[in-house]
Amino acid sequence: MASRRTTTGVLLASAGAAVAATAAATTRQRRDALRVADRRPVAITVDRSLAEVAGGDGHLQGPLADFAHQVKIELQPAPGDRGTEIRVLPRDGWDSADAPDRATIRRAVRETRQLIEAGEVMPPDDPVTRRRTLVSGPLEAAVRRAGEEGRL
Amino acid sequence: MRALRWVGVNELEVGDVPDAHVENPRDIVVKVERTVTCGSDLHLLGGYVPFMRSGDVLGHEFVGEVVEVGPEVRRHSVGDRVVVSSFIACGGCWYCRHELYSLCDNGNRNPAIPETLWGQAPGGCFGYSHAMGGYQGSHAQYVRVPFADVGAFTIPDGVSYERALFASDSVPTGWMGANLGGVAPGDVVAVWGAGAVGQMAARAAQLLGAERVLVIDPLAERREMAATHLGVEVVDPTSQDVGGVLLEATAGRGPDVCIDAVGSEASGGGVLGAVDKAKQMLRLQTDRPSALRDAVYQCRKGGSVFVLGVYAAVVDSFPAGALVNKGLTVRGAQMHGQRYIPMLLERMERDEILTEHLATHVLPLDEGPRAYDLFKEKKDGCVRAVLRP
Repeated sequence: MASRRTTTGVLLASAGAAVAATAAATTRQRRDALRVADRRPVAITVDRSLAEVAGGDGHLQGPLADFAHQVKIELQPAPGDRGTEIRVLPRDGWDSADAPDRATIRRAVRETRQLIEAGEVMPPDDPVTRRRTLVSGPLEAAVRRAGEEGRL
Repeated sequence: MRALRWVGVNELEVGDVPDAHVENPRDIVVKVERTVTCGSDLHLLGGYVPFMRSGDVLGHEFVGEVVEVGPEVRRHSVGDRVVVSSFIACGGCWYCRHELYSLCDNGNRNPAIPETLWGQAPGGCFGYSHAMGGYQGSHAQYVRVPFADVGAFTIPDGVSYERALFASDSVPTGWMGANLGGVAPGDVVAVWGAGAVGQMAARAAQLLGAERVLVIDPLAERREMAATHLGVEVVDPTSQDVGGVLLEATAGRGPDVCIDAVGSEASGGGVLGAVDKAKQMLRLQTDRPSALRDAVYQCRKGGSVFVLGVYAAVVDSFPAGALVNKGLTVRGAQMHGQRYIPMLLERMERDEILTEHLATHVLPLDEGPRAYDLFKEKKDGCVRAVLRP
């Protein structure tokens, strides 16, 4: 009986270890995938022709232009009447010392699109919390980053 | 100014908030004359959409008078009577150019939140949580309207505030369900839900030429309202076999177009309905999809299901098998109001679309919490509670 218990215990422990190892591997793979994704350009599509996006002097206008000395900005027509694709990468990669923060670039591309398409940038969401609730802390953190993070 | 604020789960209060004012050149400020409760507010009220801050002003369906105009506004002047689309759209992006206004790329100030939830961000909406832009809502004395030339529409002289109010959201939502659901002359259309949106979807189906329109709702007073004011056939799911009635009405084919105008708070009966409620309470699913399940199941082969009811995130037991094996088209959307409102106002002026009966209760703003109690609990036959700030 004792031997059977020991065998069962070993099997359970092995199964637990296997699940833990699989979970760890999956997490590692996901983390690696995210790390690769974070090294890709920040990209956005603007519903205007290449000429309109590039501006008369061939240079992009708007908040993204402020980073022109730090980043490479690639413009190309989007397929099927979808406007112009903008891709942004730091000149020497995301790991370089003078690379801007990825979140900052995300905000800049969103605001650039707003400025070109809508003519104005919406003021940021204003914190008006009067009382703490269960979700107010995480929500405030999410709202603070709501123009920077996400899947863009 | 005074406003009705969400202060916690199932807690509302009326209090003072900062005045609305023009912040951007394309804004107007509207003095709110009528603003109305909506079923989608109940998801916010009950905490099922956890993106509300205590103090947020609710309300997205409203009419009023223009009192302040930004320097780049061309279509509106102080004193205009306007109805405003509940969804906020810039008018200049790819989605607006294709009349998919609720998908606007620039209307939502907090795009990362819905991108994380749904993969992409829809446009913004008044008073509809920080996932939809964090805009203050219309249950207030005044409201700021961004992109006013795109989203605010002058009400024709022959249309009252009472009628035009529902052109802000309920009527275009219903119209969109019938229109994008593909209703065509000769169709049989089934609508789940006889609230304001369901009734307006049924009316739209009639106006688009449907041969028969059947509306399904467990509440007797809503069925009676739909039958009396619209002349549609009604079905009581608590005492009738919905599938049997629909098969009989279509001689075994099933409805050509099925519209879910119920959404996340469906009160489906039976074991599955109870399981849905339990799972939602335990936060194992965010929404109860019994009306959607039924619409997919009852629809004819090759038919169309349009989802107007609002869903927050995920549902269980979705009948994917019926969807694939019957070759259905399932489509949904938040409403593209800017696409439909001018046409709907003309129809209202010609008395083709009547909405006054939907406002079963009219209360002052200070009674906002009571209005939501009446509306949420469906007390006293409440279909919609209108507030007058």
